[in-house]
Amino acid sequence: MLAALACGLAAISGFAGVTAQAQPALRSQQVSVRPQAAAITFSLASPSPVSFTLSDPDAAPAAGASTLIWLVTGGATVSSWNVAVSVPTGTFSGCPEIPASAITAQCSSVTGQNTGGCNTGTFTLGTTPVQIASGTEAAGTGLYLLNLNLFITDAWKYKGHTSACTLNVTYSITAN
Amino acid sequence: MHTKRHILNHSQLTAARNIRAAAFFVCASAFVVAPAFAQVGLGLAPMRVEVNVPAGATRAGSLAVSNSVAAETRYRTEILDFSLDQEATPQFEADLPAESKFSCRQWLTFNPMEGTIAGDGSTTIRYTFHVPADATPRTYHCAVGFTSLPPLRRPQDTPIGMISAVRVVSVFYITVGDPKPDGELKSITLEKVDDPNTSGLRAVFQVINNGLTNLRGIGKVDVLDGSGKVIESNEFPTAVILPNRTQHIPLTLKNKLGDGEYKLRTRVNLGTGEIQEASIDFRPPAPAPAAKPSSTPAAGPVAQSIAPAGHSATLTAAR
Repeated sequence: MLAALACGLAAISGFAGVTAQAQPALRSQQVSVRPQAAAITFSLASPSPVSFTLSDPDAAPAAGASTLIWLVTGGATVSSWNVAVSVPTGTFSGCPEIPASAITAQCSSVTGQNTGGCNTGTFTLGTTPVQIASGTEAAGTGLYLLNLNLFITDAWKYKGHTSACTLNVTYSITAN
Repeated sequence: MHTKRHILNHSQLTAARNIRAAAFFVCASAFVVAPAFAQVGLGLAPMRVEVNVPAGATRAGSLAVSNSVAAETRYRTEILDFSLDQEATPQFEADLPAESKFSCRQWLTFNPMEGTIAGDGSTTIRYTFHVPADATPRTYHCAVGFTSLPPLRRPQDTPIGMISAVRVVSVFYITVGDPKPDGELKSITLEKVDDPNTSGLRAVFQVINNGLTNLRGIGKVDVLDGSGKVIESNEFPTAVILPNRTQHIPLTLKNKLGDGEYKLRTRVNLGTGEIQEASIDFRPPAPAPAAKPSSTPAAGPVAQSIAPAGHSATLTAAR
């Protein structure tokens, strides 16, 4: 045990020379940590579509916002919730020269649970789901509200369009 | 890192959380009206299906999918593989070859796979799974996702816009036989995180699941100052640790730390019936010079390893 811990630490972080001490394990009876089955309602509470106005590629990114609300019932404190964002296709419908990656998202706040919160930083939208917030379920019922800032970066290579350019965005939630 | 193990007191660990959760629910009731003006919303119950079955068994059940807005909503059903990436983020894909030995995706059938739910209505989705007779004892996992579909008529008055959908996912854990939990907290590393709203540090716990069934950690992660006083206390992250793999579980520390020596200590039960304790001594890195103001969004999260007290730093991009 001692050698394994020391070697594992050194291998992962380069912390060679860190001392580790172990005591014999005392095993108790098996403890079940199986979570309860939970139910959820997951809603987008902000206007859809989120609209952007791009008029000057040299200007600062255009901003928008979304708000998500979810209610977990039958939750268990040994289970976690995760909110992720992804897009089914990599470009805007009607404006194929604009990639989904032109949009970045930033979780600004999660209200409702003190054992969860936003993932830090900004995230580029893509077909692979990116987690934007996570936390631990409340025991029983938990209600959560997430505010998300969205930015789109204009570019000179994007054409002018008179018809709609839309991007489908999917917010996923799971409690595992 | 220092480690030791001792006997679990499960009720002590969870009691404080239950009290906080109850208090929160009372305070949060003001939000309950919020979904009433939602644009799109789906409900799902249950979000987890966990069953123990013998090999060769067939089981049936149902999920309830509801529409939480007044307008009619179309949805689509997807049967998915499920995994956790290096940041413990759930990943759902139509096919994850790396999960083939633990996937129950091909055992599941759902009906219907697509449909319409009336405003504020709900529908029942029936499922059946058949476990092959030669399935080896272990816990298998897969998922089903229900995604709202965009309206058939696209808005024409929006030059550039995002149409949002929501997806609710239910995870299936099917245990065949009685596999024993077997896991170990292998190491802790500390990394710098570029986020001014936190301590700027996160702990990453490396947990090895040597068994063939899931693990979950229940416990505490404390930060102690030089005098041994606990100055920050967190729950051990509750992410599931899937079988037969090494999982990294990050936890960002909340409170900013001044110069000095600190200890990060965790005591956790991984579901094996024992508490494992580990700690690491460290000194926070000096704060970076103030960044030049910018009108563009900040760069993505950056994490670097930091050295424990008395040792030189090894910097490694972690993301």
